[in-house]
Amino acid sequence: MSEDTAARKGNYAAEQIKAARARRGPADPVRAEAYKRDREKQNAILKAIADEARTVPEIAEATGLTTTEVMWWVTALRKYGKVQDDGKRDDYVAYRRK
Amino acid sequence: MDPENGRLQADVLVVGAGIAGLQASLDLADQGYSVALVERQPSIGGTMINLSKVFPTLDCASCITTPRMASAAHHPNIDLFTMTEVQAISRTDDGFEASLVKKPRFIEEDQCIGCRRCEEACSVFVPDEYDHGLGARKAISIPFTNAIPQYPVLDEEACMLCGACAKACPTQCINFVQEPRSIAVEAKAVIVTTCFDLTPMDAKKEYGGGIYPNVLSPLQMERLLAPHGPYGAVLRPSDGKTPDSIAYVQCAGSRDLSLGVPYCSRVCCMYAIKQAMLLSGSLPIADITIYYMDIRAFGKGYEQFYQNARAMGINFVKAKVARIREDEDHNLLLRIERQDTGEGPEEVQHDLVVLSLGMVPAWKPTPDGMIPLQADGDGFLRLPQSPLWPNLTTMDGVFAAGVATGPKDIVDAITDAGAAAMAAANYVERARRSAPALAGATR
Repeated sequence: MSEDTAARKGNYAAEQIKAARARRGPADPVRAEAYKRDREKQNAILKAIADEARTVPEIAEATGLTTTEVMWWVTALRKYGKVQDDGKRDDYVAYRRK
Repeated sequence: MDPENGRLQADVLVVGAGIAGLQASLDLADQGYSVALVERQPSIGGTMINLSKVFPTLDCASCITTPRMASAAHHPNIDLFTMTEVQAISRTDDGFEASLVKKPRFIEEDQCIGCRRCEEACSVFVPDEYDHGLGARKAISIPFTNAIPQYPVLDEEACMLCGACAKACPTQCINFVQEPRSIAVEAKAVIVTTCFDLTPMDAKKEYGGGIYPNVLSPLQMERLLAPHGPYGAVLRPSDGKTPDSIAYVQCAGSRDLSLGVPYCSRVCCMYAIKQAMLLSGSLPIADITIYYMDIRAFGKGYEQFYQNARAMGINFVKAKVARIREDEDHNLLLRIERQDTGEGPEEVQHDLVVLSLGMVPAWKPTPDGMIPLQADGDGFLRLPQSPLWPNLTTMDGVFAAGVATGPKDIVDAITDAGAAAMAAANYVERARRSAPALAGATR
């Protein structure tokens, strides 16, 4: 991407955000906090499976999250290409960071 | 359509672009009638595009629906409006006038190329409605892989306004300040093909639906069985375990006066049998049990389908499930009372339970609603001349098809839609004959 194109796109994005903030008002602190927690969960899961494949209960043990939460986040990260399946261990699929 | 003043003239307005609405629209459009097809969701296809396979043939649901979706979207006689709601339909001297509101996607559709770079760039994850909460989508996303049209929708509630989507978009089509748009449609006839809802998961508190992660709705199980499902396999939402034992609780939302659903939803027995057969293919060593009051296999080939399931080893237990509890490992304990053996209550354990929920109308007419039709006591549209004229509603020129008039399987919904299209075409022709000046106006 040329510098000119990047600058044009940057201006467009900045204008869009400015217009949206003017319409919606100040950012919702509750939503911002929830987003921050979600990012922390994603990072914790990705860190837990960075070097070795783990099952959902193993990831839950490593991160302190519940198995249901881990399952949802692994599903989300798998859909968007951050996590991949790595075979089965007994009754569980093992997941690895992609 | 005149884009300047947002007005469209069509022979027939079809409300709802599920399989019935698509079929009715295509039948009319193929005969040369102009159709305005309105869908409130971001994609057409309705519930059927969400399913894995259909009974009793076990054909791929997507393979049947997608060609109809594509044909409707590209048909020269069909104007398609997605994310559009009907505000009001009123009678005029020439037929009907409908006022529609197109909700904002927050992208410019004429500039979007469906590249999904906005979706890749977005960092906000939210539960995916298409996967019924089992999977995730981004705050800006195309609803599903074969959605039509292939445009993303920005979820204003979830968006953090970080601007990543706008920076990633190669055509600068993101528009954070897009407003709803009004559209007026003049039509000579209307076909209502609105959708159904399932009874709420938590309607029967004793079953733990919506509380226990391994108690699923039938549409959630459809997603687990789909080749492109959220997990890529049938796994437990609680911990990713491959289930060894799966149970279906029949009539978990139908034939139940306490829920206000005294009628049979007609499709639950067959979809439970279908899912059980698919599960026995995906999980060959799993035990699958269907707890039922009675099996209603009424359609062509359905009884044979049921007998095939029995022969495959699906357990059919005539029993009523009183309640479901969860142990510390998320296993489910069902307290059942068998009706076949006469033995007392017992407790059985399963890894996963599917509640066969009932079908209720997604839209019920009200006196001040979008169109003053009448409903029966169950909330589905009244058909005063049924069964002789099964598509005539209480308003002349307004026809109905599919689950708008009552629970139906896909075969019946498609047949019904064809009949509604024929009735609407006859009505339009009669209107033209009685008003010669209009003849050939749009055909």
